[in-house]
Amino acid sequence: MALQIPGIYYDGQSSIAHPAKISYDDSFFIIETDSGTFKKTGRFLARVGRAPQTIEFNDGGSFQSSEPALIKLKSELDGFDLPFWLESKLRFALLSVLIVSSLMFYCYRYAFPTIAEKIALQVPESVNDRISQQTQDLIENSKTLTPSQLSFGEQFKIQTVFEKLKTIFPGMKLEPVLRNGKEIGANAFALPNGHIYVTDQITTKLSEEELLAVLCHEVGHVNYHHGLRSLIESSAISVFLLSVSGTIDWTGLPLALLTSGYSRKFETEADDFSVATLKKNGMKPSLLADALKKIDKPDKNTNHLFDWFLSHPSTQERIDRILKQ
Amino acid sequence: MTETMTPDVVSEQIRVSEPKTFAASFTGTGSEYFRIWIVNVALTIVTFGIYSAWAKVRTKKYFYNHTVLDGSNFDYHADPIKILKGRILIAIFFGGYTLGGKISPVIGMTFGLVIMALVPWILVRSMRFNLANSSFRGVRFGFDGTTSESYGTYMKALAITIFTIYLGYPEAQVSIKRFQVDNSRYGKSKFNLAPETSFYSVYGRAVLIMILAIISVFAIVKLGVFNGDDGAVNKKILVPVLLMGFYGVLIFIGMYTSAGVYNLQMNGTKLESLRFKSTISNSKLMFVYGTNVLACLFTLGLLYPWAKVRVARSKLSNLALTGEASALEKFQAGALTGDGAVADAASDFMEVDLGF
Repeated sequence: MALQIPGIYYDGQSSIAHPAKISYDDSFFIIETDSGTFKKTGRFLARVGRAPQTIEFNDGGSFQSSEPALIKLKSELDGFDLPFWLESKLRFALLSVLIVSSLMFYCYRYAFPTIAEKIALQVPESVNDRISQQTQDLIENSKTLTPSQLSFGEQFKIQTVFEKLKTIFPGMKLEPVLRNGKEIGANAFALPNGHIYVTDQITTKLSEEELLAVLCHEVGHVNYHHGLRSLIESSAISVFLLSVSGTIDWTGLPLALLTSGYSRKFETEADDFSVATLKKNGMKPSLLADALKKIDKPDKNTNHLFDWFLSHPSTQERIDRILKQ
Repeated sequence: MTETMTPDVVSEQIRVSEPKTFAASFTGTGSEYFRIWIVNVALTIVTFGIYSAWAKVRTKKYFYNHTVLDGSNFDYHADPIKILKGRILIAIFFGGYTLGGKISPVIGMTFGLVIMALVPWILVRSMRFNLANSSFRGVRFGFDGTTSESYGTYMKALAITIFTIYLGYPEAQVSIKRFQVDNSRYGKSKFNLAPETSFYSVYGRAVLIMILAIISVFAIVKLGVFNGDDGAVNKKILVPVLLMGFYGVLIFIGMYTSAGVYNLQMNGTKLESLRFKSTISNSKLMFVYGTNVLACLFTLGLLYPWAKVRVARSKLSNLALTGEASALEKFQAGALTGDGAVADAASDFMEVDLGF
């Protein structure tokens, strides 16, 4: 007679709990209850935590018990329970923390940027143009920017700077878009298709050479495909966060934090690109630093608590780096 | 067992006059679930997401198995392979949605509309899947709502909400909740939802909180708390404070309605002779939610498992069912409702809160 293990039997037809004893013999479970003895085939259900072990029979009935003997029987029949073992030891939990955090770090620091760069280079020009066009439509429709109010003379000044820019980068499609910056103020930004937005406010603030330095920074963004890369990187991070947390409820804040890290890196890259270009063409890198000083609003970046969320490194940091090169 | 000693009449009287209370509890612990959670997250990442199906089943099993009512626990039976197939399909679909949305707004909008139009279908199919895979004392749950009923309910709820300029929103919510609960069954026995008080009591208070918050903002600005040295309002301080206050109030209201609706729904639910009674107050439940959010924020999510266990424990240790003394023994198994692993995956992705 095989070992009998006490527990509760449910026939699967009603919710009545029958006190029962189970034993295993020759690929059959034998269940002994007050109302009779049954011989059934079935399987052990997975066990998680300290819950009782359940056997589900093929006819829909089940048997449940917390007896260690039943768990022992399970391991004899089903073999080693790997997930349960991994989940029950503190050392695997600690190892998992290590794996998850280092993988997160690795993906964030190396894998995602590398993959994003590779994909960005493969993206066909038509898709690139389409994304840029979409962004452009968004900007124009939002009315954040209005048509430029510069005089023809001033507009001509920008055109000459652009002509010079085009001779520096003969292989690239570059096109100026002049707009009144309104609340954005003195600013310039580039779209992946080479359209560079220049606000009236920045043109009036900067000399021709300083403007050229800023435009070189923007060409840096275009040259390194920063627009597409940040798009791919932020998608990768959100998928990653979603898979780890299993929810989109609380991924907004970490996503903002992590993508701003990439954005700051791109700004530094674009600064370096501008400095290298200026040097190569016999101009002083300090032009970019001067431009940044003039654009910067003096009361900005005083609160270091929010530094981690900023899309750009602080102006002082950028100037220091430029002047060191 | 005592039939020979007790005449039928007496036992009948006892049954009617002495309803029994069946206490619920949650026997899981934060540290235990932490180990399970982090190991499953690690395995999910290492297997490029494939293990997420097993992780889901194990997580659900942990919470079901450690949910105890009158000494018996719940169980979850879904097949991870089916869940994995559903997840792959949905991941491809949502991947297309995100990518398409970035390339062209038309593609993104089309996807969005398709998803919206599918919500009632997803609700029915995923509830069928979830309930058919849930059991208690060897008897499975089930869901009998049909897709056409679901579309009818959602269309009516949408119409009520729009035509009353959101005044009918609580009513619309009740109709959806009632559709979910009234079509759910344990074995052959149907659940029934009849909230004691109107959902308006919860949503009305939520609106009141919002109005009070807006009034106090105006009052504070008028009092000149945010005025700079020059006497004018200092926007650099005011704007961040307003933004933080705005999110704070939104989160507060979210917690309030979530707690209020939970209690209304629980206390209004019946199953045959059994009545549900939740004794946790809205404010206590909100305190649990609020401190959980803070704990997760300050530990970069590491306390998430602890927070999840804490919610389950707070809710379940304050939940009891009252009914006939033999109520739990009286349920009969019903038909198993169909398969809906894809819809289940979709609802996981969309975070559709299916309650219960």
